[in-house]
Amino acid sequence: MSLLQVRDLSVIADNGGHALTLVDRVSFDLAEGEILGLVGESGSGKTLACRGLMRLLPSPNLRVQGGTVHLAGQDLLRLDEAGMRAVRGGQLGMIFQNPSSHLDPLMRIGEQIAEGIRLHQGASKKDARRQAIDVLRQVGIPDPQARVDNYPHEFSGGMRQRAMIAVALGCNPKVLIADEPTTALDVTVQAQILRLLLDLRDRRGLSIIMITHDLGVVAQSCDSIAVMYAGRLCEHGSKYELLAQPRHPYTAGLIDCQPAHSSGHALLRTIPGQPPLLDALPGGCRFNPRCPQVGALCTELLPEGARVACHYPLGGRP
Amino acid sequence: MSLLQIKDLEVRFAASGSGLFGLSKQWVRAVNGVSLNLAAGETLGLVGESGSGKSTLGRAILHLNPISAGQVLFDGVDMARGSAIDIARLRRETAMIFQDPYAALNPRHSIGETLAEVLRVQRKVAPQNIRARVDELLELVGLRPELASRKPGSLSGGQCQRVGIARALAVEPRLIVADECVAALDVSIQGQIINLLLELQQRMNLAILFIAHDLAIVRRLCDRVAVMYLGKIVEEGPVEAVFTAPRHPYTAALIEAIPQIDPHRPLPAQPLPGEPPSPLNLPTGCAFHPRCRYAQAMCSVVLPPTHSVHEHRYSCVLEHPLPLPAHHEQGVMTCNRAI
Repeated sequence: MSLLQVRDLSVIADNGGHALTLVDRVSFDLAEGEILGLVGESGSGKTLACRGLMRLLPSPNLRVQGGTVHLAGQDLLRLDEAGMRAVRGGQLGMIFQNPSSHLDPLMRIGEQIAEGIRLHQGASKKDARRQAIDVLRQVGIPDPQARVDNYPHEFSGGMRQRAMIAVALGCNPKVLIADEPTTALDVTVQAQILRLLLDLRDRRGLSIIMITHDLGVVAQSCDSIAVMYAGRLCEHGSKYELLAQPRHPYTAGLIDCQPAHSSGHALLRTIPGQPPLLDALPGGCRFNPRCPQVGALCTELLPEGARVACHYPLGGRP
Repeated sequence: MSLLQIKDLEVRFAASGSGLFGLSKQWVRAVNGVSLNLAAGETLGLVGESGSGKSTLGRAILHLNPISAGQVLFDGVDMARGSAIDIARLRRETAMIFQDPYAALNPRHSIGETLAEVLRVQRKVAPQNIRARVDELLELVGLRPELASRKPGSLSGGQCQRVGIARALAVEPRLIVADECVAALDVSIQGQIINLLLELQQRMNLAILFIAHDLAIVRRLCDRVAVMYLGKIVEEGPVEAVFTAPRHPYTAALIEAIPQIDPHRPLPAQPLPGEPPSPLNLPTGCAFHPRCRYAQAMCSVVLPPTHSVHEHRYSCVLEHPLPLPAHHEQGVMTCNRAI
């Protein structure tokens, strides 16, 4: 059985009376040691889906509705707050796009790592510090004995991202949710951080959900890909099948509009228009106003499907 | 003759220490002896990691940053020593497009007012024609004229960036500096904006300095590319020559690090280590030598010589093109999709 099983997870926003569905019945599995790329444009709900499964929604107006989230057999949505707190930062870690705003600027790096270790594992101060040095070494911080006493501002951007990964790894999580972990970094440092995440997977069997908008990052570092559009999962599969033979027209469009590594001043292919607003969704398939091959069903019926949610998927049989 | 000629340009900022009481004044050399040319109608990509000085260079060209030394010749006139009249002319013939489209527009002005202001200040059209010209500009960038009454807050990021481009075009510039102008946009919208720039450039014979960290876009959009590291241009040349046969190890590492949507291509096993050092404390010799896998003993001592092969310039002790993984030399799109 897979390590993490998400079924029909929805996130609802209550806006004074009328409810808005921001994430609509998302389901996916994550196996041990798997890296899943969750891809979509801004506002597609990829971050909210992950925050929903961690029960870490950023506003009191937001709530998770229905569905189940099983982590190692335990349904997270049925845990009480104390139980959930033990899971968060314990079995389930999260790292963010901007390490500067997620590390405490007034606290030494080592203390930030040790805090979690002491809280979750009840380790002594001395022991937690020793583990903090060890985890800093694992994420490739040079001279961890000395660096453990630095403050975040003494680290460069790439090192801060490593430090945040160290904080998340402190308690030996089974699953790491990485929200745009390399978006704020230069390409060369991005390659270093992706390399580190892959090594951590290989060494510790860590499972990772990587939230990103960059298909290039996904192609190089993930095993499987789930594509989200306007709050719904529209395609999910192994990276090989999904990138080589996308079934959903949106996935195909995303691949086509990459500034391909080809030369020449030919115009780029694009997806016309822009994503719909969630309070003014089109009828039927949410992609239909931008889709190049709309059929009769598309404006009538919301398509369902685990592999591809499309009435007329590309490449033949549904 | 080139529309823009930059000769040995330096931009320095005081970093710390006041120079008083024996505290030594420290200088950051954000741009450190840059020479570049840009012809009318040409697109030059300027790439490099953050902190390399590419934005400072772009702003210095438009006289938005003080120039410490060197020359910036626009149409043959040196703007570094230009009179107020020269600078006013520069303002009428150049424009800038910024990274964050929301931050670059006044949130309290409707986009029609924002565009009209430029036309009024630069006296581009007679007052009674401003309205019509605003509509024309909006249509030029693919926006409906009805949007003129809207404020930036009610527009999407892509729409705001189109307004930013319309504002730049309002002065009918000959040179546009575009600083990371698609970095904040979603992929599907990025393509739309790049296409718009390509079309406008061909139609209006615009010269564009395209500052970006995304090398794939630069390859697609630009005629030439200049690679900047710690305030210096380390390599410069026609896009195809630089991308298929890079000469400087830094350029080769940047190209290698571009994530491509080829699921069969693994991450580089040994990505370029480290990060750029602080510009306050530049390494001696070649500034790149602490991260360079080809570094020799001499690299930490002497400044690397500048070589030229046809129009391809680079500053490195190495004299041969560097090896790249096979898929780069092909220069082909790697994702062989079958529909």
